[in-house]
Amino acid sequence: MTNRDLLRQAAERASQRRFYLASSLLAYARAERLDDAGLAARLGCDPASLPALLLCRRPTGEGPVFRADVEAIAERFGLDAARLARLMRTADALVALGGTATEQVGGLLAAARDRDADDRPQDSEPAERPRPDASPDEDGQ
Amino acid sequence: MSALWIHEIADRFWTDAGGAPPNFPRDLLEVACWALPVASVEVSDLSIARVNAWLADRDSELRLTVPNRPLRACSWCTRAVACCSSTLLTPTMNADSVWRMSLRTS
Repeated sequence: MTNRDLLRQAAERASQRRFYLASSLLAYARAERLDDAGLAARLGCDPASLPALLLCRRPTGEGPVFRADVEAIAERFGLDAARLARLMRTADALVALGGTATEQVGGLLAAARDRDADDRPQDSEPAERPRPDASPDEDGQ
Repeated sequence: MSALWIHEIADRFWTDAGGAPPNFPRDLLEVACWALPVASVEVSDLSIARVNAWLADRDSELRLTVPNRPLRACSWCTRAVACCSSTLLTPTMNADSVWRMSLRTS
């Protein structure tokens, strides 16, 4: 087993702890049905460096602190910082969404803005499954 | 006719986002992820059904239980343990003005 394989195994275990970037990025990969190569492509990083990236500490601050942490990681691995930040926000949203659905539905607020039917063709898909978890307001607020 | 706190919130947003660009219109989506825990996703032909399909594809148990209808945008805010996050879904090929309006009202 190579060092890279060992690091990848460590990253898989680290994904169980929110301390590590693996907890966000591997949750994102699972949700998007991505393998390591696909995740690396989304991040724009060398697949060989993915395990080390996953073992970084997850940025947790707000505003300038979050930015500084993301930029430091991006610089270390030669990534586009904005791309990494967007992907992390999406990953954290997916993690939060999963936790809300299974543990505390009351902790969710939803809103939608209607589109006129003649604005674009009406969606022909069937209506949603009947599961009373969330209901966006009719007026979009 | 705008309250002072609106300006303060806007100033804080642009500070956290790394500084306000000099020109208008400003691209909010490009910088929002720096200042706010918000994710934006484009979904083609956005509707209630599309939102639920997007959620199902990601193994989420959450569903919107209202009649299907076309949407300009859909957003939700969740607060899990030590984590607050927002997601904004908008149709692909959306006009910039729709993006900005949807993001502001989220």
